[in-house]
Amino acid sequence: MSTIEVATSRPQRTRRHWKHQLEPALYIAPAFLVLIVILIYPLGYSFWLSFHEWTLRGFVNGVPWVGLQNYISLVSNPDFINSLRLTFTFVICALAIEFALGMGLALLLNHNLKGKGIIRSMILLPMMCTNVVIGLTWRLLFNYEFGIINYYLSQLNLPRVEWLSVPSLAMTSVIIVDVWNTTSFVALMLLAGLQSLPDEPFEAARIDGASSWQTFTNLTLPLLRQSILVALLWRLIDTFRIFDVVYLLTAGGPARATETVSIYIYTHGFKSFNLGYASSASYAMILIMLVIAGFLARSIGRSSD
Amino acid sequence: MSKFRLLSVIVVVAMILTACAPAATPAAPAPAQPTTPPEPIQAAPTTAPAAPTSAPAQTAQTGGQLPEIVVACWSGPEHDNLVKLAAAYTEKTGNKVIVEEIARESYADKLTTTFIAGGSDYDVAYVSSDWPPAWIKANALQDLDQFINDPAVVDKDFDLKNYEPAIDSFKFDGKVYAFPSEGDTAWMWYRKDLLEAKGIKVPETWDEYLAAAKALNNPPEIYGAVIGAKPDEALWDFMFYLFSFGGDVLDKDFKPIINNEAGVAALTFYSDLLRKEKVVPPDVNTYGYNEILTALQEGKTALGIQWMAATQTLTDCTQSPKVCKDGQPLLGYTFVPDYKKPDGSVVEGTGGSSWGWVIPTGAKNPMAAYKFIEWLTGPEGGKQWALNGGIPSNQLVLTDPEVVEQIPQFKMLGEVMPIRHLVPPTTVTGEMVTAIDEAIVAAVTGTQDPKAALDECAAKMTDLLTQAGYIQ
Repeated sequence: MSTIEVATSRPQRTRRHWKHQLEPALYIAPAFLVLIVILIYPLGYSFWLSFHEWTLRGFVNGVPWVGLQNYISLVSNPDFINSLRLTFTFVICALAIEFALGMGLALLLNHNLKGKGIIRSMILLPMMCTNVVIGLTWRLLFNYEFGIINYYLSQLNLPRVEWLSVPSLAMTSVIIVDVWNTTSFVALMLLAGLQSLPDEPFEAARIDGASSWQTFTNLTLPLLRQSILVALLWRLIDTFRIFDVVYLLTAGGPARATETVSIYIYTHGFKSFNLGYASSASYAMILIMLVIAGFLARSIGRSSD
Repeated sequence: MSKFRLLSVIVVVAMILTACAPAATPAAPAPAQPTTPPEPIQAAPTTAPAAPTSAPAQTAQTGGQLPEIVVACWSGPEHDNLVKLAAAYTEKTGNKVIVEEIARESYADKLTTTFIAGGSDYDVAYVSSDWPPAWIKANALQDLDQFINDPAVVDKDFDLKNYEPAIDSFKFDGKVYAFPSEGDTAWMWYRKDLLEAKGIKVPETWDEYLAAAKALNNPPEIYGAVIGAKPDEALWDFMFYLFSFGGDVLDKDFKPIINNEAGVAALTFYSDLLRKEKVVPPDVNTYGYNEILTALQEGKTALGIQWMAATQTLTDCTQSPKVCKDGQPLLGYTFVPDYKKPDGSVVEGTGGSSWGWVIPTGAKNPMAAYKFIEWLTGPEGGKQWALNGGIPSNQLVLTDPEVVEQIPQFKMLGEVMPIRHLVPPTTVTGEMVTAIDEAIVAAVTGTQDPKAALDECAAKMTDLLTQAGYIQ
């Protein structure tokens, strides 16, 4: 009997084994299919496009293979190099200011201030606005003739400023808007980090007579390293791909002064409808972001070891 | 700890991929059947059978209720007018029309992406005559001949001749792709009270225009003039200067001539209004149609070139109260100034645009769409369109005594027509316009001198036209 039982239970066990293997796969299959349709397929298709010539006037006649031609044109195009330069300028300036202000705000909110809850809610307000609303609102605020900023400047007998129409100032204006919008996010990330720090090292520092500055530079910053890196990584990705605010404020102008890589891709993709070229620019952007973000992610990993 | 590192890398990669996906992922249009090597589409009718035609007209049910349609229109007076007429059409026929308003900046891009993807978002769209060639090449528009030639669909009183000559702007390879609606131009707007106060006559040449602008310039209260050099709209303002200086975009062989002597003189004059003469607001490179309209409405400028579509807004004291006195508008309008050459001869010319209603290939209800645009541009709808401030192209409307009496600018439009130039419709017009916009903005912001900017622009246009087969 026992021999027969063993013999019949083997296929059953195999079936059960497969069932165990397949069951989770079936549960995640719908989500995975959706992911393939909305993410993997478009990504794969745009990667395929980056090696082909797709133009509005020619795609009905076929999409010829051009190899690396789109990528070669890209790196030899001074406009793309200019857009990269502008993007890095924007990222570095915005991140530096947001970090400095965000750290200040986080340190402030980490103390037992009166009305801390209200302040915390207030600084969250810019984060709650959609980028379209932010872009349109700031475009009105920056308006040379009717903008409220210039109105108050003129009330103070100061000259009006051409915030968005002078190439040398337009990027500064875009950075101001980004800083206004996202400093609170950096502050919140750092505040969460500050609140998770252990008390003991700070008590020891106090007993040893360390000054506030010494405590900040020798204790707070090193202990906060991981939170800082996560906040910077998050913001780096966001600022590198910024599009909507720039588009609404300046549309990349004046005279390409704010033409970041995203705007450059949009112009070639949806104005000129040169989708092959635009796709290659997108993948160049992904590559650059991957390298920088990978470096930062590695640093996060190291700091957590 | 290695798990944390792995997780970090996965999160980073996922975020980047998600972030970057939309930038390079257009809705994949299914390539149509390959045909013969591409040939440039000509506005002038030829015998060559070309592009589109999707399904032929559905069985006409003109007597019964037609399905609901969605009409795309950009923001501005045309949209406001369309909303009124859609309501009137629904009231008359019972057929429902939904009007979707789209921002001017992204209008052409939105339509192009929708149409070439075969999207069914819209049954009808309001379009400029320079957009259809590329769409036709991509099989994205339905020709209207299929409806016009179907007795079960077409109105018994319909006659295509009533749309001449505007219909020529929408005939490609011998087929009609749109019913024309707005065949317009711009006027020179001026503050009657300010000119009178200074004893200055209404400018007729650009020299007089500049002199008047200088005399009336008193910033920041009021500027002498206004231009609109916003990156996306610059050409649509500059074209009036270009054509009136005797310049043009292409010659008859599709060779770029925008950088010839007249073109350079026009752009120099245009950019000097800001850079040298300082008679326009300093932020004019953020100005487009809406901003120029606001500047005129708010009394911030004494002179300006603005499209005739704005006439009703600018002369209506309820809409523009700041430039009205005792119920009378302070703004007057006349023809765009002429250019007086150094040798004393006078050049006449002006710009304009031609707009019409198209039915995309992906339209859900093309027959209902056709019946709507037939009514909208016909004698009944066209008359209402005109009386609401629109500019019809139907001769029956343009010669209607009531319309002629109420809207004096139509008589002026008739006088301008022989010297009016349009941006040439080609399959690469969109890209050429972008190149010209860049040149204008570069000159106005001073990053390039007008000659260098236009030379670079002409070189880009030559490349585009060569790739598209217009230049051998």
